[in-house]
Amino acid sequence: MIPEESASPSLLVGLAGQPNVGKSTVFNLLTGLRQHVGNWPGKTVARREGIHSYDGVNLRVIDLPGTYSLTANSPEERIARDFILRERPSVVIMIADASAIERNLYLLSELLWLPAPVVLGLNMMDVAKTEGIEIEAHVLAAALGIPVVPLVASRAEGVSALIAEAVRLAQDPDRIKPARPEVGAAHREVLATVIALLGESVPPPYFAAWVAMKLLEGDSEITELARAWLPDGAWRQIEELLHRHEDAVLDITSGRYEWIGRMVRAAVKQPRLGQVSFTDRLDRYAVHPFWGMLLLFAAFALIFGITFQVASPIQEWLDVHIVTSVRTWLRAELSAMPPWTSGLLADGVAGGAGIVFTFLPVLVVFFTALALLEDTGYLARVAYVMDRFMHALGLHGKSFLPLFLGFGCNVPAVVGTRVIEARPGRLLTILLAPLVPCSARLAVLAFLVPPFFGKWALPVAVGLVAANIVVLVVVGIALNHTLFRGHRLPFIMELPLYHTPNARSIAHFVWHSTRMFLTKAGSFILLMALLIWALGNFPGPNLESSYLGYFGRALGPLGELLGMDWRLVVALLSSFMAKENAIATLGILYGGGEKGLGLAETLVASVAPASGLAFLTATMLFIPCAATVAVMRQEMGSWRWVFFAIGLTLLIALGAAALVYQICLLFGWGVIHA
Amino acid sequence: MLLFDPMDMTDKKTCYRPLSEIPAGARIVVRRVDGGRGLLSRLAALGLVAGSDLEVLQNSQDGPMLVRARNTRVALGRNEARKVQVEELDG
Repeated sequence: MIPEESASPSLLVGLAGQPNVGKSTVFNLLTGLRQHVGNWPGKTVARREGIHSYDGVNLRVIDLPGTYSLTANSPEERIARDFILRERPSVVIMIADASAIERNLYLLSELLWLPAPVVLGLNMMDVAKTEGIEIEAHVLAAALGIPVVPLVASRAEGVSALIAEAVRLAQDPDRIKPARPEVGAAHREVLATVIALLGESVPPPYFAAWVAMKLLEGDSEITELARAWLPDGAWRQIEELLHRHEDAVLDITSGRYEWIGRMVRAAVKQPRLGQVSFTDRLDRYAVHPFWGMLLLFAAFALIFGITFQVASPIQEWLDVHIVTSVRTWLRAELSAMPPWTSGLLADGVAGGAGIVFTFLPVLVVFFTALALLEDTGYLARVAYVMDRFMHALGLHGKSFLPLFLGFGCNVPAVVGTRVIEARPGRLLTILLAPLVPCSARLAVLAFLVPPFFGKWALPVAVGLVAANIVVLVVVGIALNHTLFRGHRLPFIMELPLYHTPNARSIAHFVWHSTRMFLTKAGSFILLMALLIWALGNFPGPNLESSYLGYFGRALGPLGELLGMDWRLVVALLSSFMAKENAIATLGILYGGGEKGLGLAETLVASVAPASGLAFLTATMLFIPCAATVAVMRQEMGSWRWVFFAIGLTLLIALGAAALVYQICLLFGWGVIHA
Repeated sequence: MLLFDPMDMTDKKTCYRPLSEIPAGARIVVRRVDGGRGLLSRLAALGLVAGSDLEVLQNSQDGPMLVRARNTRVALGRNEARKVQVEELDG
């Protein structure tokens, strides 16, 4: 996407800001489609970079992760500060929310200590005004000693003035003399002592004054680094000093707000207290323990309603009119070729591509919903309302939405975990996502339960789904007390102001997420489709005599424990490509059509209810489908975790199926209905 | 570790109550945070430090609670709210 660098001068620009301040809106306005989304090296945090041309100058704009501060509390905070320290941008543009200016300036109080000139863009001036807050930008600029530009990014107001200031400052950084917050008097001497002890031991790009302040704040990353930099004697002295002045962190944080208070005193007129804003009025319902829950389920019902009303028909249409006709056409065109070539192209390649293709409508609907909920500010309310329930699973309230989307499809559930900032919480949510029964599995359930269980179909189906949820909860609790023990982050979250969603930001998110799925997951799915096709077609003429068939038979003893014959095992294995494939495979293996019976009747005539139930249990909990595996790899950043997830689900699925089968035998369900 | 507000010279900690016990509608001042530096710096970044004025927006006695600090709505888990010691303002 990024054009080759031309001969024109280029400036490196960091775009910083707290979350929910409209930073992405500004970034999209600046770079439009000239942007590239990747990951920060070694991290799973998205790195967005783009080009903006201004007056013959190319600005290489890096969108830094949104952070409230610059301590080492999260990977995002480390990324933001490391970028400024190591890559030394010509200028940093900080976007602030004018309606919560004091809290926003906290980030500025830290940024000003880093070696880059800063321009402050005061966004959401319109919101601030409706909240009754008046800010005089030039007065604030005079106090801070840096350029301050008022913005309404949602209407593209002020952005060109902001860029003009940024370029001016980048070309002459000594033009300004920023006011910096100093450490409170009580600890100034301690700070000086630490700086003296650090001496010449701090290697670039770090510098002693900043390192000393971070040490006093108890910053974990800098503490580790300093321990390695310093000779033992000097470090012990510092350590002892830090221990004696543990309260310095209070002095530093309070000191920053005192500084902020001084900065805004003359420039900002706050509203009289007790004014009730739109956000407050809406929140009376949105975060109410009862109404909030009702609103949440109404919103989600709407999302699923749209999915089934719009996305599913499109999906079906694509499947019937495009995928199937392409495959039929291919088969006809290639009829002169050896059968394996037409099979490879029509079933392997076109079949695999068809799977990728038919995911698209549902993904687009879900990605849009996700972006919309996030952009309006409602997602934080969902997290708040659901936190008490998710808490039991060791999850953050924000895990609720992705997991809930999982009922539609596990792919957007895994992608949707991006809304969770902390990595352990994200990993745990991704691990649990495949245990949410997706609509494809529910379709298998709906097809197989009625013929096997007749009038008991409904309770059996509901029971299976309920048991599935119980498994999800138990696994969540178990993982939380073992692998993820002690990783629970404190639940402290901003509930941002509600605002009108920005169509451009949403379109960007949907476009990039969908494109990522097509390119990254798409190639993996295609590869898997070819592999499974080959395993199912070689060496023999049909599935029975294929490697897949042999494999299914080789698993006989295991199948016996689960009450499943080789055909059920092969059907289960084939569900890896797509969950609904289980039915198609059963159709091939059990033939149907015999004596004019449909597949359902044929199955009932040859499979005992106990085996049927075991098969359903295994299908519900089996390893995630190829598309889900592909996005899990993409979002977890390593195969190690994906293999762990596959092993875990395999173990759970087989264990649960064996348990179900053995229990059913006790009830005498092991006999085939005549 | 106990971290005291350095501005607070008199020992009045008996009057302080955990934020988790404060009902909705009350206006309070944060006096102390009993927690590690991690919790402390997270709270500070969202505007909650010793000396911050807060308004309790919602507190339903279980689950997270909601406060307003520096014109920001901040949701706090119960465990976190228990560690914030506050003093009620008169009136």
